[in-house]
Amino acid sequence: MSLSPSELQKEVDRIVEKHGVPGMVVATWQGGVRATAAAGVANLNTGQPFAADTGYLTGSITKVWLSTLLMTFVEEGTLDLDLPLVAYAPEVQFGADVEVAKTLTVRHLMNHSNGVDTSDLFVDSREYPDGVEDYLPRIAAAPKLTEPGVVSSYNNIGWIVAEIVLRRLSGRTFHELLQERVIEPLGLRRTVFSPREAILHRTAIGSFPAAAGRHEPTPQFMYPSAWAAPGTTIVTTVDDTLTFLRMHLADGLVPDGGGDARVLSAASAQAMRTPTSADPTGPASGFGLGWMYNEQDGRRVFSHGGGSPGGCAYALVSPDDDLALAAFVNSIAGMPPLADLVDAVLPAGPSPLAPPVIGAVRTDVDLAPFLGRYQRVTQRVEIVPSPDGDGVLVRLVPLPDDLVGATFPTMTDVKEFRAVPTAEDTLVSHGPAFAGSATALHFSEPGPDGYELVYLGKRLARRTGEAAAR
Amino acid sequence: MSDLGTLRDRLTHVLETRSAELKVAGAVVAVSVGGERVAVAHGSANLNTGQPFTTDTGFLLGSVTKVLVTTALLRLVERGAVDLDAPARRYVPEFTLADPDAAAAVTVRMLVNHTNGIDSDGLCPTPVRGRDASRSYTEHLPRMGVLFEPGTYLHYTNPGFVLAGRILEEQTGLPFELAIERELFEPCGMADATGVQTQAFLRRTAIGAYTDPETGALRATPRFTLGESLAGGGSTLIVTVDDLMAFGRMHLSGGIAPNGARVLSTEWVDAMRTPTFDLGLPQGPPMGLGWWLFPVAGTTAPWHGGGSPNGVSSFGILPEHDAVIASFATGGGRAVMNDLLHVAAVEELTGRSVTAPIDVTPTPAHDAVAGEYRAFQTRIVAEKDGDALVLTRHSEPYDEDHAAQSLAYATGMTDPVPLPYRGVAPGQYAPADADESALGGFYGRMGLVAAVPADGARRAGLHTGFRYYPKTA
Repeated sequence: MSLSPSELQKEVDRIVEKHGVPGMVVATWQGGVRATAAAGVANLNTGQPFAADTGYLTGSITKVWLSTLLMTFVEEGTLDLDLPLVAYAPEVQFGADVEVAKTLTVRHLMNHSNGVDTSDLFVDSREYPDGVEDYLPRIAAAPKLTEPGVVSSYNNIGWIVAEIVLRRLSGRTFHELLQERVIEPLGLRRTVFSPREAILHRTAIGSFPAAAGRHEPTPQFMYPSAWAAPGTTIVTTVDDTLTFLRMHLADGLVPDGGGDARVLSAASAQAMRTPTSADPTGPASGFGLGWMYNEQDGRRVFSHGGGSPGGCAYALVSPDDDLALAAFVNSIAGMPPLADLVDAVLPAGPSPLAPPVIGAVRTDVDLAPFLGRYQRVTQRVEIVPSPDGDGVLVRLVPLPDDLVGATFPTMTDVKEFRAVPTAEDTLVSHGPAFAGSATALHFSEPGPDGYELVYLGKRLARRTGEAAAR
Repeated sequence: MSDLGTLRDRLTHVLETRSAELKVAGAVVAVSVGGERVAVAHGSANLNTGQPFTTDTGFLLGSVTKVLVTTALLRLVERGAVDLDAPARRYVPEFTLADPDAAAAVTVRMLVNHTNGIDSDGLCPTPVRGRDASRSYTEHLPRMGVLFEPGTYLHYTNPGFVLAGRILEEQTGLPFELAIERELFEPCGMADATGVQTQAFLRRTAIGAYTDPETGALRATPRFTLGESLAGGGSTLIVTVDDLMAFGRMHLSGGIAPNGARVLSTEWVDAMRTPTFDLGLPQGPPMGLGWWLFPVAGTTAPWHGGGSPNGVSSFGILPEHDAVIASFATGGGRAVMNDLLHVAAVEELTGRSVTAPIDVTPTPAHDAVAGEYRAFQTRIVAEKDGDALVLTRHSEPYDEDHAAQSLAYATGMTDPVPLPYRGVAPGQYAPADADESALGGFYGRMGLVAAVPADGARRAGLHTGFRYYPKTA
């Protein structure tokens, strides 16, 4: 049963109150009806309240927009998702392994299965658009996490490479092309690429939980603009995003276009929603092209989250329900409120934001294979036995390459939490781990020293062969 | 001098009674005298969101930035890092002009007193942002000429200040937006000032407003700022009136900020207020370094104005009255409102009237003034109409980018409109609809048009708005 607009508003009010976040804005498409709701304060410095048209940084949801754009090039025959990247951008080497780099395709970028260890890497770069090129030398030295085409591990930098391919074949930037091929055909008025445009209208700013249940406004509005393609520049509204999502539900047709105006062909829209690579947890979740998918009992939902300094955005479509949802919470701890929202709105599973089910703790599982140090370019994961003998202690140590992350209150914090086994290859945190919600760690590639890979926060890290510090 | 309560009342009265008629969407003014300060805000800071203008609302400083940049540059001169009379090229490696000899003749001093003559006034490339933005301006200069031999005349210089900004960048190793924070905002205690535009989101910031030419309604500006490439000239800084009070007080005290920090030596503070070039025209007062030195109400007011897309700022100090005045307004009547507020403050502070800088005597337009004048992309056509003079400004954009900027800067005022002028003295013309009192204010004076004669190699022309337009036909 759909939530009526007033029910949606009540739910949003309840969620904001329950989680103590500054505010939230939501738009839903259910039962053929659009509803929006807004609650709380959009800017803790000025006190401006959230309104239905408050703009916000959409973060990584950008990847679904960029995928949509890439598919228009596939349709016109100028881009083949399965040709090697080097066919379009011969000078780009994605990853230190030259032979592997020559086999990588745009599909590997769009479904995060390229296996290159670069996710979350920031380079001291110029602003967009020139700054994108500043990433090239660094990514040519990136180590390998996995062979390509095997499993998905979230990789932001793959999208920077995708934009470079787009630039080489079109001579234009992603911002310009998206404006022309997606934003204008959809008639969107409040989706913009720079703070200088966004400031003309109501715009939210992020916040971070501080002491005593309060939130502090973010000291910095956005992440570096060179990361435009992975998702740091687009400011949009829930209404604009909902129109974009409805286009996807309509398999590419412009919604309310009164005819057959299209952004994408039906085949392209469907291709984006066809699973192309699973994540390490198994076939029930992974990626289509751009879209994350979750599957349960034959039902699939497609979604993406978006992070910004002190903000969490979210977008979801459930084709089985003709349902779409666009939301934003202006707190770094925004995932639990968004999980509650999805629970309230989505009539049946799977909910991509459902916290891991702790279920039965497996006391028979040997902890030894989990223990040790794992690493990816921007994070080290250290797992040691818990001092009180109950499960393990997980330490997540950020390894920022430059200080761009250090501006934010939580970005260089070491996170530590207890975790217990719920399966031979799975640990689940006890109590809040990431951004206020529980998290699962999945292990794979058993070896003589233990598991070689750990997967958490949608990202793989590989064992480094050093014993963890005790 | 009357007390600040009377001054506050007068400023409030101006805002409340004149805003609607002048089509001002929002405005703020502050005056600091001795240890006290009054501030009044009015109207809307953003017509799209309804946010009210408050006294702590930030706004785009525009060209008032030029006084800040001059101050920061002189700190480098004081440290011995920069020689004011050395060629600017020594400190800006990429600087050259179409005439390399002219480029070699431009000294650092000429960058900040508008005498360098570089002919690229309205240029403001937008595509490049961040650390390379200023360079994206200077890389156009090899195509640009000069309007006169450097050092010999006066023409408002955005390029000069972009180059001064580049000197700051080269000497500090920081991009302009961070260099100005380190060399100016922090020492002066300008706590809410920022050169980093994305930070404007984090607090109350005003956006411009214009009058819709068809409906007469006030609308929010379609664009917030001009390109970052013009940062040195004033396209990026966002401040509050209290930031300007701190900056002004620093100058009044001979270089010590209200927080006690020594920002600049008294010697250099005084040098900024000492004439370095005098056009000898009422619309172009003597130029110090950075400051325009306006004679007004029996005193001299070092002053600067500023423009942003659909917003205007105004900032001056009255050293003889220990006062700082700062204002900002949006909407069709934004320049006039700034003048009204400053005139009100100057009159209250000095006890004297602000009057037109000339004795207005109706004078028929001279035949020889008819013709065409041009500087960079601005072409002015002057035609006689009986005794009156009709001036039509045409903008021939340098490129698409420039065209878009012009549209954004003064929305609703882009078609070339013939404007009638009347002769008010030999060789001096004022807008026909301006009464004498309007000519007394800082912007009002700038609007006077002078016909200037040829002098050696320099052609006859018009001088208005601090700019020289040589006669081309």
